[in-house]
Amino acid sequence: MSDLSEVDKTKRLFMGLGSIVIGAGIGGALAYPIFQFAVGNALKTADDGDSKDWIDLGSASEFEEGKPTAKKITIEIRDGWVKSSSDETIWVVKKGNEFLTFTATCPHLGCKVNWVPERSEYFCPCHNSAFEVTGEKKPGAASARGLDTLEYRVSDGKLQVVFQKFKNLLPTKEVFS
Amino acid sequence: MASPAIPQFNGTLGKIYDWVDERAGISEIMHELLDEPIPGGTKYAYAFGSALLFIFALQSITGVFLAMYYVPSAEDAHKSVEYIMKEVPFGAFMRGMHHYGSSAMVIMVVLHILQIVIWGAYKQKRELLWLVGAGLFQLVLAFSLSGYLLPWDMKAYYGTVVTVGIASEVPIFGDMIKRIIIGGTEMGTITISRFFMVHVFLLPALTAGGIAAHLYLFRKAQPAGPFNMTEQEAMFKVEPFWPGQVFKDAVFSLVVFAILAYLSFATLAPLEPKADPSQTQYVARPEWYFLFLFQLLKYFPGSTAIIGSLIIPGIVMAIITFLPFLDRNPERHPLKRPFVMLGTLALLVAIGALHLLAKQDDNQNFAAQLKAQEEEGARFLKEPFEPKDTSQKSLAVAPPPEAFVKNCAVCHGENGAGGPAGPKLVGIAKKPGRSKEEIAGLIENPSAYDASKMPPMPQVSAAERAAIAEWIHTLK
Ligand code: FES
Repeated sequence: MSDLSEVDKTKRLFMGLGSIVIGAGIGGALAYPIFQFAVGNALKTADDGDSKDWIDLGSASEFEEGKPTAKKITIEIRDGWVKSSSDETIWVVKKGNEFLTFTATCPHLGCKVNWVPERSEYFCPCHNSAFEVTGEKKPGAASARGLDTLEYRVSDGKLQVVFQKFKNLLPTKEVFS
Repeated sequence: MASPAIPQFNGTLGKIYDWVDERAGISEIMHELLDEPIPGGTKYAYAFGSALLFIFALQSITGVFLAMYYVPSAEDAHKSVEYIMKEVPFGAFMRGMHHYGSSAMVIMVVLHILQIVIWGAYKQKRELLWLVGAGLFQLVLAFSLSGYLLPWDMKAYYGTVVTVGIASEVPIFGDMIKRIIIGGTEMGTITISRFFMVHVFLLPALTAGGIAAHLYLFRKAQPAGPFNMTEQEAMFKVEPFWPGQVFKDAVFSLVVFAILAYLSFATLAPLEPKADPSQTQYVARPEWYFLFLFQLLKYFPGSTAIIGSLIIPGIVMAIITFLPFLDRNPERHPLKRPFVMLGTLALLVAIGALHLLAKQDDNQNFAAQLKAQEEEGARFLKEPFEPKDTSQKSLAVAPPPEAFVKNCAVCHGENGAGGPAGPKLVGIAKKPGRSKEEIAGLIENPSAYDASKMPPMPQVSAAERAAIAEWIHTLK
């Protein structure tokens, strides 16, 4: 088939390129909606407005001075097409009239920290991060910052916090939403 | 290998190409795939097969991505489809492509078969090619049937009830088959899960294998060429597959794609409210391309039903499947094959007539209900999305107001779940004409709100009416 005439060659070139252009066009026209579809609502920020959701941790007087206490809270989450509840743990330490309220999520990569009374430290078993009772990170911790405190208030004798999630790894606390 | 289909590169690009080619044999494959000689030249009439392949690819791609959000359970299937339609960016488009794509698949498979039949292209040692094709045709129909259930809306539910009912007509094993299909005696999550597995794993795998076999056998048998030329004439006008036929296939596929994309943007793929087995007014209709089969059922009452549902369609399908064995005459010109041509025409006319009769019957007897269903579906699609609420807050339903306990609970049940004399109130807030104000009005004057069976309640004060309506709206 090496003896194609010039006309044939042009025709073949046109049809060949035409096929490729059509194929690429259809692929491109599909790629955009598919990409958007796959990303879905992942990048949408929740619009709860500015109203803070105060969650009760129980009576403020029941906490023992200086001793970390775990409190389970239930938060409302939106999981795709479902509105549901999820449990989280908050570490509470009473210091005189003040409170320290930590989320139990390790600021390193998000495992949960537990209080180890024998060593007087919060410990994250994932990559060995230890934190003081005050939340500061101990030397050698994998985490770049101490435990993340949550905003709290005492209202009607009840200790309340605003639950938030924070970005991993950073040396300072930044809200993840 | 001197092939006009294989690109020639110079310089570095050429070296890279040669390096890869020596190891991967690209040139050989390209030559094999693209230089296929087409006797009698390229034609748009040959584009249906490629278009089918194209639509199958579209269905696979959109299907894979739809599965990112779809959950096959009685609890979540409908909500997840609603979520896709209303909340996910381009969700309505993706589902539209998949929905209209299924129709396109059926249309295209029929056109493809008709072309082969008219051209007599199933003859001359092409029996296996045709058999695999017939199997693929049945797989396409199985795709539609199994996909129909997945959104778990009214249409899906009743469509499947009928389909499964037909399966149960099989003598002796009918009930067993039915139980195995639905996974017990109750249609629900197990049923959806089975249809889902069949629709997204089993059928695609079988189809992919079938397509591979079909293409291989096609290449082995070679294109049949025009029916009105001798083999010598056809060989004289031979054209390679690339680029002439590829271009025609591409143009045709582009037209198909443009139509599907337009439909998906212009018209939402239907989705009705969630399946409700207690709904007695619902008129169930299959997808349009099965309407003729549905009409056929009407002519075989009682114990003869199996004739219309399984025997006649089974015989027709068997004739189609074994056509190359039944029609052994080597003649390919359609005008010289009156038997097959008239048979095909008669089948098409019968299908068309049954379809029109079904439409006519519906227009005469069910027009109002069908229209109401359509409007209900459209209304449902326009409703803003409400997430399913399983949070602990929602579980704590407030106790009914005292006025409800005193005046309403006797008939409607203590928690509004319905009783012997009154319908259930749970979920009623979602129905049209049942806003809080309207419910309060209904309690005052039931007959003005289409509830003439309910006695008027003059003893209930306006404040109590409002409290009851408020509470009823919390029942989900
Ligand atoms: S996640 Fe806690 S140390 Fe890595």
